Amino acid sequence: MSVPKSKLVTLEIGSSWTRAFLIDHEKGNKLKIASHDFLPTSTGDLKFTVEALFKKLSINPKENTLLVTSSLDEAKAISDELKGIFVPFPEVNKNVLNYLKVVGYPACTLLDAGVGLFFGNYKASLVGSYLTFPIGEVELENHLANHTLHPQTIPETPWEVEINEALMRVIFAEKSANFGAANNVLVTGSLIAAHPKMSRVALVILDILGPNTIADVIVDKYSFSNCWGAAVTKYRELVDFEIDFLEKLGSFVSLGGVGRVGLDYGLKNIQEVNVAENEIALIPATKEQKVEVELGYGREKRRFKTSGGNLGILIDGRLKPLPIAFGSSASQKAMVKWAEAIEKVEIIR
Amino acid sequence: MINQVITRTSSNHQHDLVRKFPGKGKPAVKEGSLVEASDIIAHCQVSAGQRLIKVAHTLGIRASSVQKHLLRNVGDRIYQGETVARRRGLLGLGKTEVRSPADGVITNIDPNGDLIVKFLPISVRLTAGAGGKVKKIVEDAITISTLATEVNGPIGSGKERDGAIKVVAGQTEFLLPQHISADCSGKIIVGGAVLERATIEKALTVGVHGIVCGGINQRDFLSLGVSSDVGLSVLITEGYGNFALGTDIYESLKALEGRFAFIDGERANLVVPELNPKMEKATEPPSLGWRELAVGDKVRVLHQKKEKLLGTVKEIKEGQTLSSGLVSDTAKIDLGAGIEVVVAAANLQILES
Repeated sequence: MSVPKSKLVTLEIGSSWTRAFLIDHEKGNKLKIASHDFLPTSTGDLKFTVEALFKKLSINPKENTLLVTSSLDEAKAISDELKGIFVPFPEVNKNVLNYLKVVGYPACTLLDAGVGLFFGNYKASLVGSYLTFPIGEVELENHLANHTLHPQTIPETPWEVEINEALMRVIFAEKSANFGAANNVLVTGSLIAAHPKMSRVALVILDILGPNTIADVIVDKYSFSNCWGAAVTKYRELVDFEIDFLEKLGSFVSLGGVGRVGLDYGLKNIQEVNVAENEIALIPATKEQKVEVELGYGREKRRFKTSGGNLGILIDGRLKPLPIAFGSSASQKAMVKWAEAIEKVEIIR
Repeated sequence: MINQVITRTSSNHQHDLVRKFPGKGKPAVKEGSLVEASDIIAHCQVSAGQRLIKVAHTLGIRASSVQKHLLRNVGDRIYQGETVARRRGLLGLGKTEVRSPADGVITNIDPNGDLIVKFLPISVRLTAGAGGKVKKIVEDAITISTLATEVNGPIGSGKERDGAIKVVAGQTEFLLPQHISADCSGKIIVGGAVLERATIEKALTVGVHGIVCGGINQRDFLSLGVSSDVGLSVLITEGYGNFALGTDIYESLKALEGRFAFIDGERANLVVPELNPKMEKATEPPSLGWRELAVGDKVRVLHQKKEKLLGTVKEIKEGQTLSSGLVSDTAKIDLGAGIEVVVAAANLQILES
């Protein structure tokens, strides 16, 4: 198939939330998300949410090309009923990665911060080790377990957001264990799209990077990547179209302790940044700013081509894995200190 | 915002009570017949299994000598308390005997000198448990159409059991082992904000059939086994943790104290059938599923650490910033007694009764 002639409506029916996007042609090979919204997935009656979303966004599915993606078995029947095109999840994932390659992020690792995190296999004490406030292990287990009963609940207090972030670290760490020296990372999912502070998301990623690792981190601003994956699966030529849903946060460098980083902006001299132990250095650099990052000393020295982002270049001088423990007040204080340090980037954002 | 519509407690709704046969059963009623709660609807034979009687060990003899000390042979029917084997002491002085622990049939003698006794099936008369009309009879169950009060929760464990309702603790108390006395045996006990492992163990010892409580710690719930049955059924009405048993459910069950009920952990519900239902009084069951939240809706607040979780929607606002920093539709909830809270609209369930 080539490019759709009408506007494109993409629908992702997740196990907890359903998202709808109306995609319109802007100019040339540029597309825009004209409108989008999300509602809880009406389990047992998926059509109810879908119709409520269409009503909210004033979408008539008959006037547009409808693409539906989901891992739920019942979703295909809804798609068929609405005369939509159903795109299975495995194909979507594959084509999201292909698209990321085209836009300059080859071999990208997807970190999905969806509600599915709560159903993962993890120890509550490990989650608790990343928190800045004291909480009992049993209380934390109960809090996390209640999310599996009511996955659509959203955090109302800062400490609930913090627990979500801590859970992301624990689950994401399983993937980051396989990271090489240089990585491209896309963070997506409903917990990210709704997150009030991108600097906190940055800290989540920085915390799970091993020593001597560099990562170019992008976030999916609207949790749109699966819908876009469905679109590029059915309309291959859309891969060459621009659409604004990715935000480059920056280039994250984890030294694993005290160290030095050389930043080559293509000028005469290399800027040297010496990072003290436990320090997180924030270097402003836009996503257009090309930089070569030099890590290590002497023969161990390596260079990586990267660019900045909305948060710039973050250089992490903390020991990795982080020396933190559940219930330790020293760990809680350290987490507070690091969160305060990283939140300074919100000023330059 | 759209929200899930649930029913926590409902009464006077038509309910199909499925009475499963505990073993092989023969119906004593016909489809369409009217029954009362105490009527026998089926005669069942419950297999009691088999057991080893350690003859060689008890008599202190070799396995090969067991046969000559037996007073009964393989294939014989034996009765509880009957002597099945005897060994006399030296010079005929003193004797050691082995008695049967139950009625049964000796089926074999194993190489260790143990008797294998198959217990005789026990006859069980299955009562209707509810007044109503016999709707359907199948091989292993009879369905009775009746009126019932139903209580539903988000968490449950254990197969269907029955017993009389007994309220043993208040809504906000810890449900402690001390709350469970010998007279709780065979009953469904109600009360408390958190059910702990020690209480479950005491309930099992006493022979409690079911427990209805507000909350349970997740680790204690997991210790019950996710899809297994520990010997009693549990219905948790609020969630994981320490949650006061909701006033709606507590008051409803308090009013039904002493009544015969059915608790089903797998379905996380409790059914209290009417003894003499007047079917013409049956009300339509609530329409569950999902709908748009509206002012005036009765709701349950999810995940709030508050004693009161039930209230009425007073106001709905779109796109508000929560203290977490997230932007969401919010709802102002009147929790009664002059208490009002503003919560994310997504964190509500609409209640129908």
